[in-house]
Amino acid sequence: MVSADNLNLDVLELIFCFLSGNDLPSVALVSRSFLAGVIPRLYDSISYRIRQMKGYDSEETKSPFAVLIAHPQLAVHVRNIEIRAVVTVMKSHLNPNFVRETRLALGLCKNLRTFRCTIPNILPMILPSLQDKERLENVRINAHLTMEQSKTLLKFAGLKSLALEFASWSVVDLLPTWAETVSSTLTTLTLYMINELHESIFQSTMAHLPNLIGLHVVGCPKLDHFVVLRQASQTPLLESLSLTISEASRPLTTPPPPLSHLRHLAFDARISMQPSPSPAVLSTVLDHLKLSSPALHSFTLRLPDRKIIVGETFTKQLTENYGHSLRRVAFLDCGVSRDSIAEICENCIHLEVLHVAIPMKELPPFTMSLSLSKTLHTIVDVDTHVEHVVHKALGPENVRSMIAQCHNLRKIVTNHRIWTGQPEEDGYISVSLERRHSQSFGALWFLPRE
Amino acid sequence: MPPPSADLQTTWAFLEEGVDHIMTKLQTGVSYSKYMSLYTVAYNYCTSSKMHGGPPSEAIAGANLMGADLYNNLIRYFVTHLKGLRGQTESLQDEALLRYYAAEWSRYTTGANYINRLFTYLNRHWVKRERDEGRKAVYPVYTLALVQWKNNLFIPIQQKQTKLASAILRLIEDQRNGSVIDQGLVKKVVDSFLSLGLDDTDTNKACLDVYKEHFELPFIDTTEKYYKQEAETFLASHSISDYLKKAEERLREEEDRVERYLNTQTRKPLISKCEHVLIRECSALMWDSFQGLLDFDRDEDLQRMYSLLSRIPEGLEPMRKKFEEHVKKAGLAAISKLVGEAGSSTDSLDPKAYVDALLEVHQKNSETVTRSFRGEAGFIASLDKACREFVNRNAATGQSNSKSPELIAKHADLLLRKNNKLAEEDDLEVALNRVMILFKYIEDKDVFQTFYTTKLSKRLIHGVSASDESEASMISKLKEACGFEYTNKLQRMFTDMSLSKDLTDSFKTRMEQNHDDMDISFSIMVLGTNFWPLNPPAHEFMIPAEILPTYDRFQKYYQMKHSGRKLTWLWNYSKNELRTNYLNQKYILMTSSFQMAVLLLYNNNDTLSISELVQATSIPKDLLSQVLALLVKAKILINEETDQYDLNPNFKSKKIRVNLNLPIKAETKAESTEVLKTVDEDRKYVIQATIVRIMKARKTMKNQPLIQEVTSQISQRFAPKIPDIKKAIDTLLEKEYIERVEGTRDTFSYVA
Amino acid sequence: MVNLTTSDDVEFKVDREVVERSVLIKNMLEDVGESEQAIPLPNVSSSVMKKVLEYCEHHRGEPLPSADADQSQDETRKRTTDISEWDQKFITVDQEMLFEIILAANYLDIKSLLDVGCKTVANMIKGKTPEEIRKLFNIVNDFTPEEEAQIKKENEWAEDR
Repeated sequence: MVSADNLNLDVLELIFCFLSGNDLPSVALVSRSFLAGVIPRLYDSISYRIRQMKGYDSEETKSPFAVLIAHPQLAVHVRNIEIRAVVTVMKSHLNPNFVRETRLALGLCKNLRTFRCTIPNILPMILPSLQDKERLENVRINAHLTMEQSKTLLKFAGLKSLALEFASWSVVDLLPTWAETVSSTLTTLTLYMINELHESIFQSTMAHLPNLIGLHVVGCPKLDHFVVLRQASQTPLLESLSLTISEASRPLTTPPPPLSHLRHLAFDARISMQPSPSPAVLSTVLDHLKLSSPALHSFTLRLPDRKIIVGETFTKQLTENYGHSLRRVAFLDCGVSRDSIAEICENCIHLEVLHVAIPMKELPPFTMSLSLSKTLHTIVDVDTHVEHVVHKALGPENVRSMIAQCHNLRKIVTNHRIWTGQPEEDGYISVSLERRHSQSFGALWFLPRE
Repeated sequence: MPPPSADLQTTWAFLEEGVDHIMTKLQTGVSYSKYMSLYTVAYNYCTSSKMHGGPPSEAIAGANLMGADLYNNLIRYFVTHLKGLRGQTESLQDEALLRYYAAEWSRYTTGANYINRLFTYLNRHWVKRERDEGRKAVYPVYTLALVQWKNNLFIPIQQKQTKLASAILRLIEDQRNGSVIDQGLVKKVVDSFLSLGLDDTDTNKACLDVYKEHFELPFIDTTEKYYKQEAETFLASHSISDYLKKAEERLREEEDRVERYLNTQTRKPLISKCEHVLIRECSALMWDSFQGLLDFDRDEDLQRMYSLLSRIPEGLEPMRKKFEEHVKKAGLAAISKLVGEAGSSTDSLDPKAYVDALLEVHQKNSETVTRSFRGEAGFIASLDKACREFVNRNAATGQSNSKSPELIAKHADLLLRKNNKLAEEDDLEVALNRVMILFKYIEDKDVFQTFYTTKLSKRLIHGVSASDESEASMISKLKEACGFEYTNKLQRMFTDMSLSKDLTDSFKTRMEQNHDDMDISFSIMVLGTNFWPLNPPAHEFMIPAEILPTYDRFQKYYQMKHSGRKLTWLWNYSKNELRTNYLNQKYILMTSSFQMAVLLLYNNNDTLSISELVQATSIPKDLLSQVLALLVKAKILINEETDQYDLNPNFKSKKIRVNLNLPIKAETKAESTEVLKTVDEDRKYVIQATIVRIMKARKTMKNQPLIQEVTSQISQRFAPKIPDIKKAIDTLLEKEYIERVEGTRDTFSYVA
Repeated sequence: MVNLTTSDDVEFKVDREVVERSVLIKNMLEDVGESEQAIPLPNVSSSVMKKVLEYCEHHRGEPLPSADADQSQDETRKRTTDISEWDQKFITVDQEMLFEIILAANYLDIKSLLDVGCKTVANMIKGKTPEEIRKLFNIVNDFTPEEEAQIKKENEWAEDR
């Protein structure tokens, strides 16, 4: 008789492929055959965060890296490693034991495909272990490295996607050479908060990367929208683009880049001014890009202060240009008037997802605006409400009423909570709540999400 | 069929028998049950990976999927199988070897495709896992079969003096030597080389490395040697024109070869190698023979040489240079010959003969460019450059820049006159188009313009133009070539003509209403001073009493119509018709106004002295004596005593209409110099205007760039001389249109 | 029409288009060619075959996944455990039949059916403790308490909360 226990391993592995999160360690504890079947999936991705640090010092828990060292044969399964926290001694010094484990474990993972490390001080010590990873494709690092350390980066030769945050001058200096070695494979480049990066280095970097489909240059003070748009004319295949818009920039005199494939656009507006109804420079950039008539699927706007209201002329311009193609619109850290939301819901005829701060005090009129969309499926609350001391959270009755009024709305995501609702045949709306961190991209809010 | 729980030995024994059947006896067929049992046995073995008992450390090692044993047994099978084949090849050579190899290849790959599908489950799980974990030397079963073929058959054969590749190369050489070969066989073997290439990271990707290393490189190498040898021997015994044919044929053959049985990626290196050996290496020889082919109009050879040399970089440049020189020489020679025939004086040169000679050279060579050089832009440029040279400077022009434009304008004038010998209007149009061909090459287009204007004005005031349509057609051609400004004056002249006709008519109607003594028929042309190259007489003229009333009436009539306009009467251009009443036979005398003034005096006198005539007409004596000379020559007047002129009472003429209005010699002589003076004046003005325009736009400019800018802007109309530009700058400095920037020697600024 | 014989010697006559949802049979028909012979399926019983053919009949004509579906496609497949309504009803069977269907789909190489089966099992596991899972599938815990403690400690890092 066939039973779960005597299914052959290939099939067990196939089943466990559909599991994630806590289910995986649970499955591992069921039986020997389940343990064997879940191992490849369990060790596929390792994410080390603050939670994983707990109990490290008291040896109550083992880091995944220590486990890999204990069982080196597990390392072949590891494809993705993300380090977002490190164990420290006396708050600021790295725990040498942890560093040693991490370095050794990384060395074992020869099939590593993705590596992320947003912690600056540990990177120099583990970087040498990352050499000769033939399959390494995606790298995101907080690259505060010295000249000597930076040179290791050149060995990452087959990268498809690269994100650099807070890179030091020596890393910046290396960029053009690095770009040349990855020019045939790299399709996405993200440069975030890099003070030292100026136009000439950026230009010679971009010269090697004509095949980019994603370019995100955000928070680099010397690369404003003028520079980025000018260089973007060399990358006609671009599908997603993020840039910082500053008012101090030169007027856009260069011909608009030929970006007819562009689908995702994100503006990081650094506008040092009083709250203004319509930041004119945003309109100018939007107009400039319109000339290559891309069919934008998603648009994200982040303003420096939520007291600034996104002007209605701007939202109108957005819907006039891209109303027929937009599927996802996000307004981060800014105010959006009810009329603007109505404008977007009514005129973006394929709108599926809207990221906006949900105004708890004005929920009924807000819902009215949302109900103008026939297609809106998900709404994501971007206001984390940390500042509001007394905050009324969204309850099941609110959710039920919103879903009842909005034709296609099924999902409302707020901080830590995911509400889903399904209208039943008798008109009653069943609502379920899942408490989970919404998928986080860390600081890189501008990356396209699918 | 062994049960699912069978051990490896039983399992493999069953599978091996089936595999061998498929690899060696596939033609006898496979039943569904055989196929399914083989698949099932392999499947059962692979899915027997279960975890029972054993310590967790074993579990945590990640379960070992079953499959390695089957995979290794497959390898062993392929190796043994291929060893057998290799033995067979030992004694085979050339075509026999290729035949054996190709037949075995197609049998082997067909079988391997079957095996691959029977072991699908092994591929899907065990092989995939191994490759995922980074073992690149583990392949899906079909690829494994190819890898084994390569290592156990292909490489060992190739290691014996590249037996396979050499056999193919020998066949290709046979084909080049004219034998018929089995191209399908070559294609099969070459295709196997292609299949054996393997991309380690992605087994589905095509990879040409085996093909390149084992076939393409040696192939290109032998190709080079072959054609080097052939070109050398061929040229030793054949003409260049035979060689051109041969090379063209060979290149076509090689293109064909790629098409028929090679990989398309070989085209580029193969063809460029052939081009190098067959064309580049012989290019010096071709260039040297080029002149000869031109001299003897060997169109086909020229065509061939062009298409060959156009395939290599810089191959055409020497041809273009030689062609330019050739055309220039031909043009110069044609004119020298013409001048030689006409005698020493170039003044008597027939404009038509001159134009025809130039055009003949142009046309012949233009045809060569179209026919043999496919109208290629570089050759057109060479032709234009050469023509520009000989059209402007040749034996007929000497040092003069204006001679050629003058002759061409004269020719145009002759064409557009009433009595040209061209019967049909279409012919005239053709002839005018031919003029335009030369016009394009004229450097001093302003000289042509001035001559043309002068000639046109003559045609119009004397009413000898062939037709208005033809005139308009020519003007529109000039306009197309040089723009509105260039033909503005010409067009205005036509407007004046038609306005004058209306004016004459309306004046006549008016006079008929008011007066009944209109026994004089009168017509007038009122011409704008600025548009017509005409000068009033430089002397007084006593208007004869007979026409004075008409003169006064018209003056009054015109003043009434256009008050404030001043009429200047050009007596020197006007003409008259007088009817004789003093003879038995009535004649009509066609005269100039000066002649008319003289003859009218004889209404009341039979004899007059020259001083009496001067006094009565106010015409200066030296001009008057020329006027009289013509009348004397026509025997209207008789001059028997010095300065005494009598009316001839016995005048006789065969024609009723007697034309006395012949040009006076001094007039024709003066014309050319007059024209050139006008041109010089115009140029001064044009240069100054251009400088002012440039300076207005640029505000300040240095001397040298300014001169360059002026030259480039004006060169459309004529080639300005640098001293003229400098003179113009000085004039403008003087007039304070521009000034020197303080503290500099050669920078000017615009004075607003 | 194609004739199939199951392990318990029951014959099925099926449209070629339906039976070719099985890549195994599709490949074999391509290689060997069509004939009157019955295709023996020694690993599938008639009761399971009936279910499998019901599935194939419902999904006839849909595009088959390409032979070398690339990695990214695989990755997205893993993330979603949604099952269409018809499939959901179809797969509502007792545990033994569920596993039999999974094995048959694996054997016959019917990828979409294999996915439906595996997703269903995965959904059954979701949110359960190890003990609950054992109970669900009637699995005997074959770890010693020491082994269990070790595995727990070594895999704790993978827990979300």
